[in-house]
Amino acid sequence: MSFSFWVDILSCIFLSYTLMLMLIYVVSALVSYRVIRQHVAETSFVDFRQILTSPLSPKISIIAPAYNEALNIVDNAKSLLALEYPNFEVVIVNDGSKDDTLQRLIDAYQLEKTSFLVQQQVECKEIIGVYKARDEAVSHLTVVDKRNGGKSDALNAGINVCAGELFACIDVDCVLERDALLRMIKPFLEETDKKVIATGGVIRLANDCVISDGRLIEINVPRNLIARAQVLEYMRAFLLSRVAWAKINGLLLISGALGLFDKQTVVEAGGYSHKTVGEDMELVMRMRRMMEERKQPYAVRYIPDPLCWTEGPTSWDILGRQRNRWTRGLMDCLKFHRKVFFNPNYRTMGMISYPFWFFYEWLAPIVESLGLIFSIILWILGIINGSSFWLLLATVYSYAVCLSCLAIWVDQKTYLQYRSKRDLGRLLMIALIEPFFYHPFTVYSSIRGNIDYLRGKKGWGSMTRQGLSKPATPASTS
Amino acid sequence: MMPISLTEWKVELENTWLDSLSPFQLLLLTLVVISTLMAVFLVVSVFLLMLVRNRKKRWADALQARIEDGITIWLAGDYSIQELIITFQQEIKKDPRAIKIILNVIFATSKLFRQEGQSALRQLLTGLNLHQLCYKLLKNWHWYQQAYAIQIIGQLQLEHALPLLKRKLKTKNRTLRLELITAMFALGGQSWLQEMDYTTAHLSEWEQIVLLERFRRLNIDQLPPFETWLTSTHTGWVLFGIRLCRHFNRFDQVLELGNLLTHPDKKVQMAVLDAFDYLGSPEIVPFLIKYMPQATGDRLRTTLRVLGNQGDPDLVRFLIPYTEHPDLSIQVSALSALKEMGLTKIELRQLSSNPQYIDHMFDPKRP
Repeated sequence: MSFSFWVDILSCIFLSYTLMLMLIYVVSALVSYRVIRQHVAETSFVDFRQILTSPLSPKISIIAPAYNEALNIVDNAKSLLALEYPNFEVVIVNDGSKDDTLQRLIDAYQLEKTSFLVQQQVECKEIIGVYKARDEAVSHLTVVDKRNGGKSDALNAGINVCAGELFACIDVDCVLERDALLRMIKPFLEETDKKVIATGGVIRLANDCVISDGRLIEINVPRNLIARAQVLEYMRAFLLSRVAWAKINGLLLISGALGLFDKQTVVEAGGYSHKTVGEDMELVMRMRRMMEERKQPYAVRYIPDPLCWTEGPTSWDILGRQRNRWTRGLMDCLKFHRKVFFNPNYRTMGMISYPFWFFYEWLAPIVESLGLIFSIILWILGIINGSSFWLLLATVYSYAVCLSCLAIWVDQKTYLQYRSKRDLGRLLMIALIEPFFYHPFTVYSSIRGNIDYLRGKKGWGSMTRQGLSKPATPASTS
Repeated sequence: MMPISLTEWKVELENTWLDSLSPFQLLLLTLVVISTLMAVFLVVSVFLLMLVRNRKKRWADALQARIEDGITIWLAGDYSIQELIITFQQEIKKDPRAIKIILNVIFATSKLFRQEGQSALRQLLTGLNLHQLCYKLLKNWHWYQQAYAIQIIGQLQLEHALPLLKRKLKTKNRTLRLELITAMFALGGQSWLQEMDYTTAHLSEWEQIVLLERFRRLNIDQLPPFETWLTSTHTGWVLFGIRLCRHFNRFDQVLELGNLLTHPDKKVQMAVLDAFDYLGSPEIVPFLIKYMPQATGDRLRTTLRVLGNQGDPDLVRFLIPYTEHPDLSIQVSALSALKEMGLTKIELRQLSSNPQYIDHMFDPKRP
C-alpha cells in the first residue's frame, strides 16, 4: 500500500477523533447546562438549614488526613468544626507528621488520649493513639495519630475510626462552604430506588480570594496566569462535563478534595488502595465495579454547587508534578479495571465512561501531540498546503476559546461566582491566551506522566502550597 | 485604489480563495466560523447579562426599599390600607414588573409574623388582587412558578385555594408535592392528604426529613392521615408514618408500630426500633423480646440498647445469651445494655470472655 494511503488513513483517524471529542464536549455542555438550571431551581425551594435540627439526619464523619500541616492545622480544624450539620464528627488523621502537627492540635483543643476500640475494617498502618477533646463544645473532634503510610492509608485509618454512616474525605487545607454537608447529603436521602454510593462536589480555585477564619469572604480571579488558567479549566471540567456524566450515572471520578461516601460500600469494596496515586478515582471505580457485579442498583451523584475552595499550583514546576501524578493515577485506574473496557456487563461504566476516559482523557494528550507532529510533517512534505495547516490550528483554537466562553457563560447564568467586569475581563483574556501557553504545558506534563509511569515511578512528589490567605508555608504531601 | 462594493468583494473572494478550498478545508473553515461566532455571541451575551442584571438590580432594590417602607409604615398604623394599595397600584402601573417585587416582599414579610400580622398582609395581598395572580400561577407551565404560588398560598393562609391545591396532589414533581403537603398542612387541610398517591408514588428520606421539620415548625396538633400510610406498599410512606408517631409522641400507636417489626424492609424495622427508643414505653418490651431472635447486625444492637434503656432487671436473662454472640459488636452492645440495667463491673467481667471490653466500658475517658 502506498504512502498516500497511510496518510489518508491517519488523517481520517485524527480528524474523526477530533470531531468526536468536539461533539462529546458540546453535548455534555448542553446536558450540564440543563441539569444545572434544574438543580438551581430545585434548591431555591430548599431551606437547607431546616434539616439542622432533624434527628433523622444520618451521621457524617469528615476525614481529613494531615501530614506536616503544623502551621495551619489548628485553623483548618476550626474551619471544619464550624460546618453546619446536625450530626457530624471531624476525624483528623495525623499521618506520622515529622513536625508538631499533633502537638498543636493537642494544645489547641486540650486533647487527651482515649481508650478506643479500633475495628480494622480496611487496611491501614498501626494507629498509635486516638485523641478526644475534654471540652464538650468540640466533642465532635477526633484526632488519630498513626504511622506514616500516605494519603490513602490515612483515609483508611479514618474509616476504621469514624462512626458515621457516611464519610466525607477532604483535603485538610480546603475551605468548605458552611452548608456543604447539608447540600451533599441530599442525593443520599432523595433517591428511593437506588443506593447512592458517593457524591462529589464542585471544586473551585481560591487563589487570591479573601478568606478569613476558614470562610470565603470575597471571590476573585487570581492574578497569577497559571492559577487563572486553572480557574477556567476547573469551570470547564466541573460545570460543563462532570454534571453531564453524573446525569447518565457515568461518573468515575470524585475529587479527593471533597467527596461524600457510603461507608458500608467503601468498606465492602476494601477502602482506599495503597497501590496508586490516583486513589480517589480508583476507589470510585472499584465501588462501581462491585455494585455492578452484585447487580445492585446504585448511583454516583454530583452537586454542581461550588462547595469546596482549594489552592491551585502557581508555578510550572508544581503544576507539572500535579499533572504528572494525575496521569499516572489515571493509568493505574485504567490498568486495574481494564476488565470493564467495553464490557456490557458493566453497563454505562463499561460501555461509555471507561472508554471515554481511555480514549479522551488518557489518550487525548498523546493523540493531540501526534496529530500536531503529523500535520507539521505533512506540511513540510507538501502533502497539505499552508492554508490547511493553519485552518487546522485555527479550528482547534477557536473551539477551545468557544468552550471556555461557554463555561464562563454557564457560570454567569447559574452561580454567578465572578461578578465584576475586571474578573470577567481577566477570564475572557485567559480564554484567548491559555491555548498558547497553559494547555501545551499540561499536555507535555501528561506525556511526561506516561513516560514516568512506564519507567515505574511511584509516589506523589513534593508539593508546595502558599497557604490560603495565610503566610506562605512549605509543606509536602505524604 | 478604487473601493469595491460588498458584492464585488464576495465575488472576488469566491473566485480567488473559497473556490480553491478542498472539501476538507471547507469543513475546517465552517468549524472556525461557527466556533468564532459562538464565542463572540457568548462574550456579548455575558456582558449584556451583566449590564441588564446590574440595571435590574438597582431598580429592584430601590423599589423593594419603597415597598418595605410602605408596609412598615402601614403596619405601624401611620398609613391606611387603601392608601398603601393605591401607592402600590401606582407602582404597578408605572412598571408591571413591580407585581413580582411586591409579591416577594409581602411573602418575605409574612414569614416574620404570625396570626394578626399575617392576617393584615393577607388583606393587603387580596386588596391588590395578588391572590388571583397566585391562583393563576398554579396553572403556569413551569413547576417552579406553581411551587412559588403554593408557598405563598400556604404562608398567607389563602384557604380558598384548598380545592385548587387538592387537584394537584397527584403530581409527579417531588418539589411541588413537598410544597403542596406543607401548604395543605398549614391550611388545615390534613384530611385532604388522604387523596395523596401513597400507593404508587415514593416518598424519599429527604422529603420525610423536610416535612417533619416543617410540621414541627407549624406547631399544629392534628396530624395527617398517617395510620393509612403505615399500610402503604411503599416503604417511604410507612417510614414517614412511623417517624410522625415518633416525632409527635404517639404512645397510642405502639401496638401498630410493634406489628411493623415483622415488615420485610429492614429500614422499617429500624425506624420502629428508633421510635421505640424515643417513646420508651414499657409496652414495647414484649415486641422487642419477640423480635430479638430474628434481628441481626444494627437492628440487634439497637434492640439490645433499647432494652437496656428500659433499666428493668427482669430483662437481664434475655440479654445474657448475647454476651457470647459471635459478633464482637453485638457482645459489646449486650454488655453495655446490661451495664445500663445496673450490673456491676465484676458481674459483667464474669459474663464476658474479653475483660478488656469491660475495662473499656468503665473507662471514664471513653468517648
